[in-house]
Amino acid sequence: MSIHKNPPSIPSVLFEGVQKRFGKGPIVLDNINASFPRGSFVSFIGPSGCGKSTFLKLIAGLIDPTEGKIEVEGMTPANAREDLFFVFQDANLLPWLRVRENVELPMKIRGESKKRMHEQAEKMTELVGLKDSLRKYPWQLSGGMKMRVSIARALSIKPHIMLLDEPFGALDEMTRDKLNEDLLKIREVDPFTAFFVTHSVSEAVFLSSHIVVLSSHPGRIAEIIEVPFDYPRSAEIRESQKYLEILAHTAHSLRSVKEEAA
Amino acid sequence: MKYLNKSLAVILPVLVGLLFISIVYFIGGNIEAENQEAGLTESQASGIRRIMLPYPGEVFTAFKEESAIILNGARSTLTAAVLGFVSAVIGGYFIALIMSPSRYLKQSIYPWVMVLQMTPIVILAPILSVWLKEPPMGPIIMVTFLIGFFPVLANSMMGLTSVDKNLVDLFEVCSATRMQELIHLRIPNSVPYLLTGMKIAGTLAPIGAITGDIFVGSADADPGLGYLTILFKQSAKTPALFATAGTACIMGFLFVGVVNFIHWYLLKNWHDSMVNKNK
Repeated sequence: MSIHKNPPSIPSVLFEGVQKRFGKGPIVLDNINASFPRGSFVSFIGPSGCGKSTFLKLIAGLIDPTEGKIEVEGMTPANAREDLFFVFQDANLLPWLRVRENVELPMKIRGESKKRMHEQAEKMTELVGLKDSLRKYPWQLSGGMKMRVSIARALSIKPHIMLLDEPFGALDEMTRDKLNEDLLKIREVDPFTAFFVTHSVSEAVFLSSHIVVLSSHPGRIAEIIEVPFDYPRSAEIRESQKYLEILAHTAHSLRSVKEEAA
Repeated sequence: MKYLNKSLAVILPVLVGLLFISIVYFIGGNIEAENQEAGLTESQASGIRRIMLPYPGEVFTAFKEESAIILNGARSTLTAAVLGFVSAVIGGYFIALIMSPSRYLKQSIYPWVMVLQMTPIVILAPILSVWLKEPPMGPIIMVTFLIGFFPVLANSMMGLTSVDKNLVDLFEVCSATRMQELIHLRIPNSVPYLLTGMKIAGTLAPIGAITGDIFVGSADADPGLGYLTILFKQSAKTPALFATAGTACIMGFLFVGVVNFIHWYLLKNWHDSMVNKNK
């Protein structure tokens, strides 16, 4: 079942009264009500342990909510999985496979033809700028390159929704800025709705249409900040007055939830 | 400096070997002298010494004299070791594959594997020889199998189950079936562990084949190196005994060498243990 048959009014992801706790542990996420339209780029930001990653795992259907309901493109997360892919915190590549085989893996699992897998792997590695590394093994790549492979792997199945769990957290700032810009460029070629977990305020503002600021213990939505810049965005917006204002606002909002937690 | 280090790696063991040989000659000389003092002739004294402590030259002579029977024994033992080793690897990995997905299967099989492992193989060997009459090599292969399969099983189990949680999540996001997860994730992940098990089983296999042969080998059933050691001991052919030991040692090295080659070949491109050396 394809989402194209669904009316466009259906949100990409809908949370209704969602609560999550693991076993008898503390409540990780509480009373989450939110709806994100298709095509948005949603960032989750908040103190450590506020359940940012839990959000993504709920959307991916890797875990189920304790209470409430989650809809992904009008379906249950498990049913929507075909249209969704996850980019993990560390690149999460299979060390025994070459770059090409790593990118082809999700397609292989879906039973795509060899020809299609080859074409798609070449196209996607070219898109992330790694066409020359197709025959390399992960250990031969830098952290930034590994992340690019991971993104190419996710793109290869043309997901409608991309979940990114602090993908650039371990990279230096320059590599991170470059990958941020490239991610937005890629999104112009292959549009997807993005759910992005980060610790970096500037990254969140630069990338997102919506920034979800979370408070911790339990994780609640403190504020959803809308970022009014149109896509495609260029690196120059980082220098605009409006950008700095949103940056300041987000930083302030983040600081207040942190103080509240302390 | 690097060159010196490399040459030292050859020179030092050779020096230790020479030292060892000179100790042998020293002790041998003492034995002969003592026996001559006790009133034996020179040739009697050296005959006794040869039984107690043969010199390297005498071992070589004995090897030349008995080469037909020793090499045939080596062939027989090597055959049993290879067959036992291969069945241990296949059997151990297969049982690990069966046990790994289910806790209940593991709970029902594993204790019995442990029971088998804890029963001394030298007691099992005669029992096996009662059961397995044909082929004559059967019990020996079985002993080799029993010695080798546990390290393969235990290591493979570890490799099949200790998979990075994030990679398991990746496969779940891909909606992979359990079979796909097994083929594309768990089995490749288990290869380095399997190879570690194979290395241990590989050093044990020739020992297993020889031990088995000592307990169940016979002259009419293609005698291996184990049977020969008993034969040479009974006829006081100590130099031939040493020649047999040397042959077994070389065979062990060959065996481990082949297993190490497989290990290197399968992991050279990607595994941390290999690629960190190239960096």
